[in-house]
Formats: sequence, C-alpha cells, structure tokens
Amino acid sequence: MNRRELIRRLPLWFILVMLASFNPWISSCSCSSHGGLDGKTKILRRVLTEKGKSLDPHQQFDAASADVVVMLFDSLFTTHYLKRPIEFIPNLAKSMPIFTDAGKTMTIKLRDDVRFQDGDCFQGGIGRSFRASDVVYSFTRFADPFINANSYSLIEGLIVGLDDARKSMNARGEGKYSYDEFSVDGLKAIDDVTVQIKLTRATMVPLQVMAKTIMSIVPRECIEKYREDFQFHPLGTGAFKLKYTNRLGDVWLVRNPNYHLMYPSEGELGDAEKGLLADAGKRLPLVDEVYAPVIGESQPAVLKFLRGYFDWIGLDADAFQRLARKTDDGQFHVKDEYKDDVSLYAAKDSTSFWLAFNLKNPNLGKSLKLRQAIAMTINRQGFIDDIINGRGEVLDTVVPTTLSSNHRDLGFKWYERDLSEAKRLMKEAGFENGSGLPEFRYLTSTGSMPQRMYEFHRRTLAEIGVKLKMEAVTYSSYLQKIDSGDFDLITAGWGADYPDPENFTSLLTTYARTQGQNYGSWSNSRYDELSDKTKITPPGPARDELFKEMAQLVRSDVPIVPLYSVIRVGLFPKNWVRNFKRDLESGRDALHIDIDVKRQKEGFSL
Amino acid sequence: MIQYIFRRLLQMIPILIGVTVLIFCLFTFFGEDPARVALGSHATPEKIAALRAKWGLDRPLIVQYLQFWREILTADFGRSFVTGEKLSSVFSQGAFVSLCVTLPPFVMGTVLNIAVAMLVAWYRGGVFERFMSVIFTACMSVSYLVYVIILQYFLAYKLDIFEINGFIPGYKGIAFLFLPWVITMIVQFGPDVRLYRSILLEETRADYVRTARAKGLGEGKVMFKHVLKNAMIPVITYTVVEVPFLVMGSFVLEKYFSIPGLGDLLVSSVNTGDFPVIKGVTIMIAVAYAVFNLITDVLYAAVDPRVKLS
Amino acid sequence: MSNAGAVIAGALPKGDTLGRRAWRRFRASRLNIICVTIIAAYLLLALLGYTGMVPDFQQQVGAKFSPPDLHKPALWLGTDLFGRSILYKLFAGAKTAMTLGLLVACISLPLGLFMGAVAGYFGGKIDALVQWVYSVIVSVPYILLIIAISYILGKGMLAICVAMGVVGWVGLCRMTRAEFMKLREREFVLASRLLGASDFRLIFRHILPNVMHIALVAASMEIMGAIKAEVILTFLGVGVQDGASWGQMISDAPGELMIGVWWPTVGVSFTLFLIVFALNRVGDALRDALDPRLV
Repeated sequence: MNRRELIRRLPLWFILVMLASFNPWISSCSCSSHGGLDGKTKILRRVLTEKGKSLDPHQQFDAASADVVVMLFDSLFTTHYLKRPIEFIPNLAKSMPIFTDAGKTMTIKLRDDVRFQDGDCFQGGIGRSFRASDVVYSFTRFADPFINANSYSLIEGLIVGLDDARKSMNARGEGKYSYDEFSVDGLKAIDDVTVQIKLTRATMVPLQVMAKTIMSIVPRECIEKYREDFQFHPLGTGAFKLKYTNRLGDVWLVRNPNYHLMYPSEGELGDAEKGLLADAGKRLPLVDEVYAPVIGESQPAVLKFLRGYFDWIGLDADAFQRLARKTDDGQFHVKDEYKDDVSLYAAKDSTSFWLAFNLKNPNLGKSLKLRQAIAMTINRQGFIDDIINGRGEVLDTVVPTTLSSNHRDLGFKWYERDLSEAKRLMKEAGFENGSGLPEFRYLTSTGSMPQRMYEFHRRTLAEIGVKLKMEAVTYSSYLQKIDSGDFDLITAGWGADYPDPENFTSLLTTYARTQGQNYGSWSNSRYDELSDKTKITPPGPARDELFKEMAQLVRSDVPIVPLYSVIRVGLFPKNWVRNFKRDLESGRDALHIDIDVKRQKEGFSL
Repeated sequence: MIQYIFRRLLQMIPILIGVTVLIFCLFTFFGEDPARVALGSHATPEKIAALRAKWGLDRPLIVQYLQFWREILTADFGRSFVTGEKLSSVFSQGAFVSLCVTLPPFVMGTVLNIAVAMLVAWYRGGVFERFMSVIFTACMSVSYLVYVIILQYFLAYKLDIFEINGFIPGYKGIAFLFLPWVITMIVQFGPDVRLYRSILLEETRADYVRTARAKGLGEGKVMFKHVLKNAMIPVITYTVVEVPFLVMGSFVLEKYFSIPGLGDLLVSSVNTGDFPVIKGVTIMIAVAYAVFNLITDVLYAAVDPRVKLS
Repeated sequence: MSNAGAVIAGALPKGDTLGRRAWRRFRASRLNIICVTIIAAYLLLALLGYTGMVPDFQQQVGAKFSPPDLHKPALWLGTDLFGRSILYKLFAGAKTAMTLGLLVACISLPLGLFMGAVAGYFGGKIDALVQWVYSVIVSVPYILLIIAISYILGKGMLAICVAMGVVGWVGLCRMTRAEFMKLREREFVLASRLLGASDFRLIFRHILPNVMHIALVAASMEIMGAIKAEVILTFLGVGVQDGASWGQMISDAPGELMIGVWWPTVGVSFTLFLIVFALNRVGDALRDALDPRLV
C-alpha cells in the first residue's frame, strides 16, 4: 500500500477505530425506544423541565428532584391525592401519629406489609421488609451534614438529640463514622413496627416535613453498598423502580408490583362525577412504566405534545399563549381547536412572590413615603395578566392562597393602585416626578422571563418617575449580591417547605436575615415576637389574630410589596389519560394516573 | 521520524502547562462559585465553607494546582461537583454521543462539499461560479441559531419529516439524529466549499498543471488526476485538525435537541462552576488538538516528498 | 499600499498602484458595491442611534403582538409582547451589533498585528513566546474562553467585547507573523536596515504597510464573527442583557413562532443576514482584490 492509498483510506480507519472504542457502551445499553408503544404496556410519558440535583432523597431539596424521587421512595406520611385543601394521610405509617406528653412525643405505628424493591444490594436480590430500624437509620442519615447540606434546617432544633448527632458527625469528618454510633434520644424504634419521636416542643412541623420527599425511607444495605453512588442506583419502597437514567436527567421507571398503597376511595365534592373515583381501591400504581425526558426548551416540548408524544405537559407563558386562554370569569380553557383532544388542569401552587426593597439603600430605607408610593404604583393584576397570562392570584400578604390564614381568611387588604395618591406621596417625600432620585438597580438572574418582569416594572414605575436599571448577573454573583445587599429592588419568591403560613411569614423576621432569606434586611422587634408566637400557637382564631397584626406591620412599614401566588396550568390528552388531578403538594400524580393504551396508540385527531 | 514525533510530544508540555494555568486561574478566581450555586439562595456562610472544604477548594492554591496535574497524569478527574457522577464515564458517554451527532455529517459533508467545490472550480470564471459564490456566502451568513429554530419548526413540526427533539442511545436513536445532521451539514456547507474552492483554484494555477495541459492532457484528467490529488493535502490538513472539536460536539444543537453530549455539558458546567468537568474537558480537547496537529504534520510529510520533518 | 507597489513595480504599468488596481477589481462586481453600501447604511444607523435620532424602541406603538401594517412606519414589522415596534428594536439592535463588532475589531486587530509583527520580525525567543501564547489560546475551546473571560467582567455587552477581542487576535497574529518572516528578508527591508533604520521604524514604517491588506480582510471577518457570536452568547445567557440586541430577539423567537408570531423572527433573521452577508462578501472580495499573487 503506497502513501496515497493510506491517506485515502484514513477516514474509514478513523471511523472504525472510533466506533470500536465506544463499542462497549453501545452494547451495554439496550433500552427500548420511547416511541415504541406496543398497545399493551401502559406507559405514562411526561416532560420534566429540568434535571434534579440528585435522586438520593436526603441530598435533594429542589422541585425537579422531588418530582422523580417521590415515584421511587416513600415517606412516613403523605397528602391526599384528591382532597383540597391539603390533608395529611399515612403512607409507610399505618395511621397518623399519636401525640402524648403534651404534644412532645410522637408515636408512629408502621405498616408491616411493605417490602423494599428488589435489587442486588439485598441478599438474594429480593427486597427485604421495611422495619422501624429503617426509619431511625434514614432520619439519622437525614441529619448527616455531609449528605444533607440543605434541608436539615427545616427540623433543626425540633427533635431531641438529633442536632447533637449532626454536630458530632461534622466534628468526626466525612465517612469516618457509622450512623449506629449516634444514638439519638428523640429517635427510638420501640419494636419492629413502632417508632417513637421526642420533640423539643409541641409542634406539627416535623409531621409535615416527614410527609415530604426529603425525609424518605432508604434501605441501609443499598446505601452501604453504593455509598456516594446511591443517587445513581436509587432504591426504596416506591411505586416505581429506576430502569434507566442519563446525564440530562431523563428517567425511565417501571412499576413496583408489590407497592402497598391503594387508590383513594373518597375525594372532594364532584370528584366522583368527574370519574376520579372509578379506580377506588385498586393497587397503585396504575401504569406499567413512566418515561420522563428532560426538555428545557418549551417549544420542542409543546410541539411533541401536540404530536401525541406526551401524556402530560406543564405550560409556560409562551406555551400557554399558544394552547390555552383565560376567560373573564377567571377560568382557564384550552383553545377551541384542541378542545376535543386535550384537557386542561389549573392548580394553585403554594408559591408566592413579592418585591423586596433593600432598606440599606439610603433613599428606599429612609423614605417610607417613597416605598408607599411605589407600592401604590405597582400594577399587580396587570403584571399577572400581561407577564404570566393570568396564571396567578394577587396577594395581599406573603402567604399564598392555598394555605390557611391567607389574606382572604384574614380579610386583609393591601394598598390599592392609586397613581394620584402615589404622585402626591412622591412630592411629599421630596422626589416629585422622580427628581433627585438616582436609578434603582433591579437585580435579576439572566433569562427571557426575568427580563420581561423587569421590563414590566420599569414601565409602571416610570409613571411616577422612579427609574429602574436591570442588573442581570451570573447565578452565584446574583446570590452573592443578595447576601451582601448589593441591590436596590428584587423580586423574591418562596415555595412552601411545609404547608403552614408560618413558613412564609417567618421569612421577614430578623432571624431570617441571618439565614439569607429576608433579602431587604427589614427588622421589626414586634414582628419577630409575633412570629415566634405563631410557631407555638395552634391554628385557630387566636393565631389568625397574630398573622393579621403581622400583616398590618408589613403594610404600615412597606419593606416589601406582595405580588402574586402561582397557578400552574398544564395539559393532558382527554381521551386516554384518566384520574388526572394535578397534585402539587405531594406530586404523586404518576401513581394514580391510568392510561387507555388503545386510544393512546391512536393518538390525537388533530 | 520517531525522533521528530518524540520532540513534538515534548513540545506539548509547555502548551499544556499554559492551558492548565489559564483554566485554573480563570475558574478559581473568576468562575462561578460551585458551592454557592449548589446550595442555592438560602445558604449560610458556614454551609458554603463546609461544602468548599469537602471539595478541597479551601486548600492552598498551589496544592490545588498540583492536584490538577495529578488528575491529568492519572487521567482521573474525580467526580462532578454538581451531579456527583464519576467523570470517566461521563466523558466517554458524552464524547460518544457528541460524535454520533457530529461525525456522520462531518464525513458526508466533507465528501459532498469537495464535490461541489470541484464543480465550482471546473466552471471557474463563469456565471456558475459567481452564482455559487453568492449561494455559499449566503449559507454562511445565516445565524446557526436561526437555522436550528427555523428548521426544527418547519421540517420537524410543520412538515413532520424529522423527530422534533430527543436522544436515545442505540440504533433506534438514529431517527432523532437526522435533523441535527442536516443542520450540521448545511452550516458546514458555506465555509467548506469556500475553502475547498480556493484550495482547488490555487492548484489549478500551479506550474505542473500548466505543464500537464501543455502536454495535451484533457481538462477532466487534469482536474481529477492532478489537481484533486494534490489538493487533498491541504484538505486533509484542514479536516484532521477539526476532529478534536467534533468530540466536543455542538453545544447549540445539543442544548436545543436535548442531546447529552460534551458540548452542552461543558457550557452548563461553566454556569454551575463544575470545575472538575471544565478541567477534564479542556485538557482532553487540548491534548487531542495537539495530537491531531502532529498527525497532520506527519501525514503531510508522508504524502508530500518536499516536506521534511526536522 | 505605495510600498507594496514599489516591491513589485515591475509587474504594473506606470502610475498604476496595487491599491488602485485592487479597487478596480473590487468594484468590478456590482454586488460588492451593494454590500459596501449595506455596511455603510448599518454604520450610519448605529451612528444615528448614538445621536438619538432613531426613535426610542422602548415606547409602545401599538397593541401587543400586532402583525405588520404598512400604513405606519413603526408598524412595518409589527410589534412585540409589550407593543414595541420591531423595526425600532432592529434599529437599536443594529447600534448594539455594530458597536460590538467595531469594539472587538478595535481590540483584536492592533493586538494581532502587534504580536504577529514582533514575533515575525524578531524571531527567536520572542517568537517562541508569542507562539506559545497563541497555541495555548487555540487549544482551549473558544466558547469556554469567551464565557470565562466575560464572567470576569460581569457579563454584559462590554464583557463579551473584551472577551472576543482578547481571544480573537490569534488568527491575524499567525498570518501577520508569517508575512513578517517573509518580508524581513526582502531587499527593501535589508536596504533600509543598512541605511541605519531602527527596528521600530522598520516594523512600522516599512513592513507593516505591506501587511495591511491582511488586516483589512481580518477586520471584516472579525466584525462579522462578533455579530454572529453575540447571538449565540445571548442565547446562552452571557450576552447583551439590557437594551436591544438581535441575539435576544432570536432567543425569543421559538416562543413567538409557537404562538404564530412570525414577524420578529423574520425581521431579525433578515436584518442579521444582510449585514453578515455584506461583511462576508466584502471580506472575500477584498481578499481576492488584494491578493498580490493574482496581479
């Protein structure tokens, strides 16, 4: 072979070498195509919008992870799929806990019929039964500072002895201990099916947190086998088992045939008429597989949904505009051309947003009138209508409308939009038409949505002469600027950690300032005092009085302007998806959804 | 020859040192703080410090830099800060996926574009050449992003010719790759044809071509036997150097079509401050770039007797 | 170009310089002239933008997403989400894009010429150093460097300008270096050196004018590359943040297309296409016209 010949064949050789070197990977992956509906297997195909941080329940604290984790793992409690407002029900527990010792001791009876999913970390590959020791193990691991950096603060100081265990783990150093070495007084397995938890004070917060994915139960054998790789081999008692995942966060799950929960037999008024109770008493989950790819861009996801490739999709602002509309009565509808094929859900989310003033700014901090003027100028309903297509509700306090003691329950009102009054206040404050006021820096992260929000506020505030300048920075410097108070205005948001208004109202306390939550650095001793009281007062009129006084304090000092709470809107095919009632609290929709495979294969008539 | 290769490999060392220092400085001093990004908006300074300590970001800079070299020499970059995955498997899978997207259109496109360039060179000086030069300049002038958005919308959604988005490993996944392939080939068309045309035209002006014509050889024989063969040398030089960047893939395509390749990985790692990934990918590319440059030079010498390696 | 003319004067008729000849060759194609006009028009638009003579793109001129309407200039290309004129946004975007392109060229051209000149002229250790610097730069993926450097300056327009400028000089440097290595051995350089000309004078007075044609072509390519890169960078979230940019409009395009709003996409794609095409074409034509081998 002469030189020229060699050159000519080079590309071919190159390809062969490349292919050969990656061959092991090709052959090791034999996942079937997601488009391949065989007409028998019930596959629920849904879209995830971003990849979660981890599939290890104790490591994650973000909505994207929780969406998947909830299908793989179980907690002791959960919330009812059909009932609103939120109702707690037992999951791995047999019944709701019994509180004794003036509410400071929680005794939890556990189910005895639950097995972990099969996996090679168990002897013989068969999942073992779930026991009380798993609860103690999992909760101790939840307190491990090297596993859980984020979510422990929710129950910090609430379970006797757990904080000390966390501290001594931290002192020992990563991986230099086993959880058995820390016997926590407040965490005891009485027998195989009973756990006793001692609290430092009478509070419902631990129960509420135990219903979340972050306190899921994990099997000790698998943790010890996979250690830091457990998140790639997640295994729990959940309704589904992980079959395939990749770097983008696409997941493929298969049904756990031994799952312990049944479809609920009672729901809200009207659920029976909608056919949501037809499967009452059936063993969950109802579908065989869940295929959930991550598609970050909204356009491809929507286009694929319209082709009938997905059984469930959430809508962002652009997608909503294309596929749905809001009528004057406040109801959401899918556009007429899709009416025969597609159904729409609208579910209120326990997430709220508000505009925070940085009180360290000399003008904003000193001039209450300026803050009031801005509060009277911000067009909240207009913002909801224009920027998020009406998928929100105006808030008058920071508490979203899904929770009790929200502004409607309290009968509380925020300032009405009143331009002439706002202009008068500006004049009184000495800034008539904005004269003498420097530009305010509106801090935001990059992206098309934050940009639109800024643009809206810039326009409205210009009406009273307040000038805004956008400061869009990288994520970490965004966080850094918030911490160091290097901004003037910011839109802050919060999603409920647990469904209690106190989770929101406490965000404006002086303590929250040290936790990096009270962005504007407001501090009011009366508010702090009331906030502490709400933590120990049981729900009822007395607690509502406290919340009301707190709301008054915020209204009179205007450290923030409450904006809106979120309504999530999404679509699902009308003809083949059943039992769909978006459950934003626990996110266990995939367990309850049933699919008519024949209709699914036929697709849309669009 | 062996000596030459050896010397060239030695010359890689200062360049690698430069690359490591550059990357290290850029991302240690100015990049996103991975601990802060990982912990989100409600992190206390203690939590951040603890996480930084866990990742060894609190050690003296020189120790961190030397650690970087240890990672290079052992080819083990540890685990990703963000996902905790082992990087060796992340890289090999990512590189494979990226190659799935870039290699086929690269090969097909190169062959096709050389053919088009031949045509242009054949009809040089005429209306066809002028027409074609407007066409390929036009092709080059459309933004990559516009291609992606418009073609996805029309070809995949409106006309239903291709899959809209997604990626599946294995044979069934090929259907998902057609559109990225088409886009890659269209994007490549303009610059490639322009380059090959100028190479071919250069050759047609060479003395040996004049000689060949003078001795009465037909234009076809001149083009294929002489011009094309000789033009292959610069063409190969150009294409081989491109190969390392094929491994990195196209981050725009990967982001838009949800393909888990290296390009998307690299860009998202910059945003999350995932330093191990950045280090690994950069070094991989730098080494590959140097190696393929060397291969080009050796090939050059192998093919062209006038070139001596010294 | 007079020096270059002197070198190969034998090949040219009396009174005909290389520059004049190149110009004649350049204007032979009518398309080239059109392209130069387009570039001039965009530059003018950018200039007018700075003098405030272009209407403010922030003002509301119509209803949200109203389609093109030929009766009113502001509505020729329709409006966006906030009822702002797409046409005015494109004008404002032209200002951003041209500023960006020129800034990048202003940073990278002198840098590339200087580094290339020094390396090619002096050779030896200086050459090795310059070669090392650019080898390092080309070994790192372009996009990574741009993003990383723009982070140092805190994202935004100026940041990406500096980033692209600092990275973009490499190609020109390489060509300048090669040219300098050739020219420094030429008779006219040797003669000047014998007459006692300093290195500085030799580089800047004698050799540099002979490589200016490379710089001219590089400039048009550099500006074009910067305008195209802005689109991608903005899509990735590191580009222009506040104000109008074509990149932002293209990033918004998928969502708008989905709801049937095609006019912003068409408008911005075409505007971007025109300027990039013109720069490409002029760059190519300049290269052909100035190529001394084609004399």
